[in-house]
Amino acid sequence: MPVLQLEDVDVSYGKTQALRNVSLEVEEGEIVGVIGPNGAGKTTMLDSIAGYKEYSGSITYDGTEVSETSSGKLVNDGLVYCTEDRDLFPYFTVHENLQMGAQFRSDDGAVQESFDFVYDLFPRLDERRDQEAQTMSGGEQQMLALGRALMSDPDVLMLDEPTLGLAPVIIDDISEALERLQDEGLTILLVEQNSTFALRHAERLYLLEQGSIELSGTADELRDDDYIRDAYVGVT
Amino acid sequence: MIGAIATAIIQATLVSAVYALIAIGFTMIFGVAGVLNLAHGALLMAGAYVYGIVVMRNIVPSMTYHPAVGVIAGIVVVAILSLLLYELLVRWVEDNVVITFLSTVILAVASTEFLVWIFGGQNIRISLIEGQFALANARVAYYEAIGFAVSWIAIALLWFYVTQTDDGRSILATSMSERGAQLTGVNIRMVRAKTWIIAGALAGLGGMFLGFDSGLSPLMWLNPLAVAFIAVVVGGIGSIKGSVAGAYLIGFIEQITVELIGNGFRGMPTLILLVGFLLFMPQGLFGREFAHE
Repeated sequence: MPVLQLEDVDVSYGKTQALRNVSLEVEEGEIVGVIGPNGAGKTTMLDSIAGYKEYSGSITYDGTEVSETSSGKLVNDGLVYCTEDRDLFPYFTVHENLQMGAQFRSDDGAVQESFDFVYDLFPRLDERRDQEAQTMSGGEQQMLALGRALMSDPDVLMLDEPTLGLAPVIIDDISEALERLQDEGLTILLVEQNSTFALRHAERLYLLEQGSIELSGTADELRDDDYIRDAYVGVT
Repeated sequence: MIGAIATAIIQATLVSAVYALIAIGFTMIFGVAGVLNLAHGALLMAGAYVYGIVVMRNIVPSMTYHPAVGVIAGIVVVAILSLLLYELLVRWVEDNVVITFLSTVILAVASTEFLVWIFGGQNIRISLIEGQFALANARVAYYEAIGFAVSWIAIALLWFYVTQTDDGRSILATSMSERGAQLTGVNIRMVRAKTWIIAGALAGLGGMFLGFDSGLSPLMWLNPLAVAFIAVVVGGIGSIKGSVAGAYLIGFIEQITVELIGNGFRGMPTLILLVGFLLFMPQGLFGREFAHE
């Protein structure tokens, strides 16, 4: 059974429909990508999965309907959401931000292991433990947001545009981190406008356009698809 | 002369400690929930009256418990009242700034009328412990010294709570980014409830020490509310450190004014200070602008 499953999900803001009949599955241990242009409804979809938006249809995480539980409970149960805005705590240090990620966990030994893992994954964060989040560069903030999400010991990690606005060399760092997480067997739902990045990491992908899933398949299938190549990947 | 200066400094230090207790709760509620709680003064008044009812023979003759019982009762009762204020009123209107503003003002005024009705309008003396001691030529009442110590113990405990525990850190985190707090699994509703409880406990404590100083009266909330407001603006809205610094600044300015000009002008320089900060440094001493969006 998929760990995360969307069936015929509709979301609307007043008269405009943001998502229409979206169905999507994520199996344990998979990296699933969702690509599509700005305004296609990608963030709306993640907000709905994380319990922040009302929807019709069905979204289940680990067999539980998301609308019947709370966003806080979902985080506790391992569904962790790393937003596009990052939503860091600006006046907390790097370390305090990471501590917040683990605030609901009581096993101190396991939390310490998470700290070691995150600091090892992002040595830049280790060097800047006592620096306030607001004073860091965009790339460092993205690493911190990812680190904070990992501190929650996720079973499924949802990433919204982790490469947005970052320099290529920083994207490489994020890439490397994702590869390590993949090796660890973490399940990831990766939402990206940057199709090249998504195609590199995801095993399966969905194309979301104007609120509907227009196409889905493995990374290889989508890479060879004419429409995807012309509209999203370009001639690089 | 030296004696007078020493007295002024000591008096200012003692009164500032009480102001700090009042300002911290006010700033926390603003920082975490974005609520300007104008009934904060009513809460500290409640603390002083609860103490009077529980301890003083001249209010309820049949209740003359030990002052320690009275202090604990004052803290606990006001913490509960503060939580009720949030759960029964503020929670339902907090999204609308104007309604929150008006309803908490109305509550404060209603509390005055209620106390006039029950206890009358006159000033009622309450006391913690009699006696005084000499400190650098100044006379310090025992209750003032206790108030100072209690204030710093409370501040230290609060500081430990919000910087060293996950539970307390979640309160600060919520004041910086509510969305961020939600993403890390913080229960925002619980955080708000805890904040109101803490603010109430501190207000109750501060209110009692104000009562020991100048007695109970149905309008005793007005002046401290102004002090809390100014302290918070001066210190930087939402900053606990700033509210303590602001409270001390106001305490000292007030005391210097009383010494040099006279008691009638007590509040004026701090109002000028308020205007100055609003015009030239609206983010305050420890300003983080408006951390709460």
